[in-house]
Order: sequence, then structure tokens, then C-alpha cells
Amino acid sequence: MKDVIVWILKRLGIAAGTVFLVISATYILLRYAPGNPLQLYIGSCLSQGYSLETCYARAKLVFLIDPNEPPLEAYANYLVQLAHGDLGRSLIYHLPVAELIAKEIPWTVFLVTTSLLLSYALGVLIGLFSAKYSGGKIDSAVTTISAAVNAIPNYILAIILLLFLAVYSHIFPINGSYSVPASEVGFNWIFISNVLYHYTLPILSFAIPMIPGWILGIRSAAVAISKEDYVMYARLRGVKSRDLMINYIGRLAVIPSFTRLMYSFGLLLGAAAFIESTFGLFGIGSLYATALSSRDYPLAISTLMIIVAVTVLGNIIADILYGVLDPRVRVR
Amino acid sequence: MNVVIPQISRRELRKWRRILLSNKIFMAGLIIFILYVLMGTVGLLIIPPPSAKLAKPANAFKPPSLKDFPLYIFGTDYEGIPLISDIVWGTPFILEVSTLASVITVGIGVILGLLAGYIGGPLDKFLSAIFDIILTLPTFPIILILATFIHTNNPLILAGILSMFSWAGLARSVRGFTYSLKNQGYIETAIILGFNTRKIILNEMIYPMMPYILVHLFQDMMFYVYGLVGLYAYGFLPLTTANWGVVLDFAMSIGGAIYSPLGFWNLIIPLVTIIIYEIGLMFMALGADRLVNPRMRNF
Repeated sequence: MKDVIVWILKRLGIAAGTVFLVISATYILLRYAPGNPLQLYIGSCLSQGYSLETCYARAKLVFLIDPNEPPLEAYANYLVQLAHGDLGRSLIYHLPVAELIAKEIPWTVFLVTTSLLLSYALGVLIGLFSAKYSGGKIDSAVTTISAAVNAIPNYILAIILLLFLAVYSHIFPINGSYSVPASEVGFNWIFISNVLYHYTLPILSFAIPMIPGWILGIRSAAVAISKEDYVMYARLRGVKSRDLMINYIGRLAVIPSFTRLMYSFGLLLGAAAFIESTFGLFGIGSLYATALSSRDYPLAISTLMIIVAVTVLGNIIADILYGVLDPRVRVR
Repeated sequence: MNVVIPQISRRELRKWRRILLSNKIFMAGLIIFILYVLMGTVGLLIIPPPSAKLAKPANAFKPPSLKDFPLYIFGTDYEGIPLISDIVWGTPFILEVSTLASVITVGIGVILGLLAGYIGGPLDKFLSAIFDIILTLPTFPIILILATFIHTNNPLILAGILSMFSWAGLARSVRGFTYSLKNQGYIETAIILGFNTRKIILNEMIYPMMPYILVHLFQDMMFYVYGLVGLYAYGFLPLTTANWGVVLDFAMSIGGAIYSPLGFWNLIIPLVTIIIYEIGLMFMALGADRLVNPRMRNF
């Protein structure tokens, strides 16, 4: 047990170091990259004939950032603020970044979680089915189709779904996270069903290209497990083949991919930018895209930090879960 | 510097050819890939570049037709320029960036993987730790932020950004492979007999690893196309060079084409172009995976 705790602490230490490195590198790069709102403001103020001091003072009032600060000091201040839980202020929304992210993140978590679970459930079903007939025609057809579907980039699928199911046929809404009046927003059936209606296409465009990954993982694990002695014995004992597939093989076969599920969560948070932009949804993906295209560096860095932290933590949790779920693997 | 070329006998070549030709899925992917390479090279000689001379605003958003074959088989774009010009002339940039990125990925991945696996010890520990850290990062948002803020069309820099993290997966595979090979009897014997180290590494290690490297390579190439086209299509990069992402961006944004039936062919053609290319790469990855000797899979 002591080893496990030491191992977890070590992993957490590495994770914190990783997040710190990513944040530092992006801060240094972004703070001095041309074209951010702060520089644009000062530029336009100078062109109106004001002196540099006046412009700096004005910019400080508007953005609450001192443009005159030496780089090292600015960086140190930023880190101190971060340590106090202050993620800075957005340069375009003029609101605390933490507030913006807190408002947007539930939407992305909802989108990513639903897509993951849907793709995982379908992937397990198809994967076990194809393992049952492994080596046959069905199996090779599943593999080929999986490969082709896996090759479709999710934002391309999003555009196709949007075109055919929303623009040309009006089955689904074209954009937005919901379309009920503000008075209806809350935990009631009208609102929830409306959100699901709006999120059908985004969820599908995220989930469909992910299914093949689960299929291949489950299939290879299931094929390997079905060669084990205990499965052979169960088969000889006359256990029904469906029971065998679900309880004897399926249970073990899902372990490796189940941990990948945890880990995929963070990766998808980062990949949500294109999908959320395509469908005009709320969420940190579209927030990140907006922050990037308007060079709003405090917002961009903090959003990236949240995404990196969630991914790295998800990875650690996945490794711990793997050890818990699969007694054959113990952390050395 | 004399480079040692792995000695491959004629019989072995024949064997490889047989394996390749019997591998239907790999061949399908390879044919798709070759077609795209031809489109980005020979195609440029046949199809005129998209220029103002070809633009006829009255002809904008025309559906495909057989007029002036093959100029209008894909219809026209928002300026009345034949869409086939946009697609064909957009290919070289994509091929260029993904080739450069692949060279970077394979170079760094194989070298670091070999170093870690062959030398071992503290260096191996250090390198493996780096591979693991990179493999836990959400690489896509980091690539997005770098590409946006560096804001360049320089293919080499873009290739560098896209391949920044993808070498780690390959390096880890190569490391595992090298490590297990190094402890095989025949390699140990070769080392003891004082064979040339470079020869051992090339003939006895990299050569058997080829299919693995290929699998990684094709999967990484899929990711480069995904990233590059996405960055252009969603306007994160400057829209000056012609490429599929820019074609897609214009199709989506100009004149609300996405919301009118007019823009249908303008969207579908680039979308299908990208999907087929990705499917070709995926089939090659799957085929290369089957080339791998199953006996070697268990490590």
C-alpha cells in the first residue's frame, strides 16, 4: 500500500510539473505575440495622438493589466495570481476568466461524456459480436468498415451531418445549445429535451469516429481471452454462448478500454473546439476557439491549463483504476 | 560518410512483393495515396491554377458539368473558378506539410527510441519518462494555440508544430522493440563477434521494425491532415496558400454557402476529397499492421 501512495504522489508531482511547463511556455509565447487586444488598444490610442504614458494608464484601467511591466515581473505576478486561484481577466469579455470557464465547462462535459458513453456502449457490443465470429467474413467486414469510419475527421462528419440533417432537411436545429426562452432554463423536461435535440448531431459527430477504436480494442482483448483455459472449460460445461460472451469474456475484455475511456475524456475536451464552433454551441471548446482567434491570451492560457490538468489527472486515475480493476496488473 | 544499405536479396524482395500484393487492404490504401500524389504533381500540369483569369462571377456555384472536360467536372466555386483547380492546386501544400512532419516524427522517434532501448540505464529512464509525459498531454489544444499565435504558412514550421508530440508514441514502441531484440541470442552473438554496430542496428533492428514504423507513420499522417485542414477550415491560420482547408473555409463562410443549396457541391467535393485521403492512409496503416509478424506482437 505504501508503494502505491508513493507512486501516486510521484505521478501527481510529475503532473503538476507538466502543467507548470505548458503554462509557462504558452504564457511567454502568447504575452508577447503580436496582435492581442491589449496591444491593439494601445496602438489605436497612440494613433489618436495621445502620449505613451496616457495610453498605458488607460490600458491599465481597461484591462487591469500593466503593459509597462517588465516581462519577468509580469510572469512572476501571473504565477502568484494563479497560485491564489485567480486565472486573470479576459481581454475581450472583461470578466474574470474563472467565471467564464465555470459557466461554459458543464456544456462541454455534457457533450464529451455523452459521446464517450454512447460510442463505448456501441463499440463494446460490436466488438464482442465481431470477436464471436473472429476470422470470418463478418469480422473482416467489421474491421474494414471500422477503419474507414475511423478515418473520417470528426469536424468533417459534423459538417456533413449539419448539411444533410439540419440545413437541407430541417430535422435538427442548425445551431445553438438550446432554443427555449430564458424563463424555461432549468432542470425541467422541456429544457432537457430541447438540449438533447440540439446536441444530437454534435454527439453523433463526436461519437461515430470513436466507435472503431473501441471495437478494435474490445475485439482483440476478447479474442485473446476466449483462448484461455477457463473459457474453454466453461464452453465444455455447456455454458450458453451468450452468457459466455457477456459474463466470461466481456467482463475482462472491457478492462483495458475502460481505462482508456477515462483518459480519452481530457483529450476530447481539447478536441471540442471544432465541433462546438461548427454547431455554435456553448462550451470551453468554442470559448477556446474565440480566445485564440481574438488573441485573448489570459483566457486562452487558462482554458488550456484546465484542459491539460483534466487530461493529466484523468490519466493518473485511469492507471489507478486499472490496478483496481485488473488484479493481474500491480504497480511496481 | 558511407551509409550502410540493408542487404536485401532478390528472393526476399520477391517475398515482400508477394506479401504486399496479397495484402488487399494495404494495396487499396496505397493506390488511393498514389492517386493523390499524382494529383498533387502531374495534376498541376493538366489543370490550370485558380487565377483571376478563370473567375467569372456570373458562373459562381455552378453544379458539376461536362463542359470543357475536365475543367468543370466539380462545378465552380464562389468566384466562378472551376472547383477542380482549387482542389488540385490545394494538394501539394497538404502533401508537403505531412511529408515534412512525417520525416521529423520518424527521425526523432526512431533515434530516441533506439537510444533508450539500446543504451539503457539512466538515459533510458530519463527518455522513457519524457515519452510518458508527452503521451499524457492533450496535444491538440497545444498545437492549436501554437499554430494560432505563430500564425504562419511556412510548411516547415507548420510541420514542426504538428509533429511536436507525435514522435513520442513511435519512440516508445521503438524502445520496447529494441529492448526486446537486444536481448535476443542472435543479436548478442553478433555484438560479441564484433560486428559493426551500425550494421547490427540497421539490418537486425530497424529492418524488422519497418512495419511498426509504417503503422505509426500512416496514423500520424492522418493526424497531420486532420490538424492542418481543421486549422485552415476554421480560420486559425492565415488564408494565403491554397489548400483543402482554405477551400473548405471559403465554401463554409462565403455568402452563407453552407445555409443555401447553392453551396452544396462546393462543400461536398472538398469534404469527400479529405475523407478519401484519410481512408487511404488508414487502410495503409491497417495493412502495415497485418504485415507485422504476429510472433513479434507480444511485448
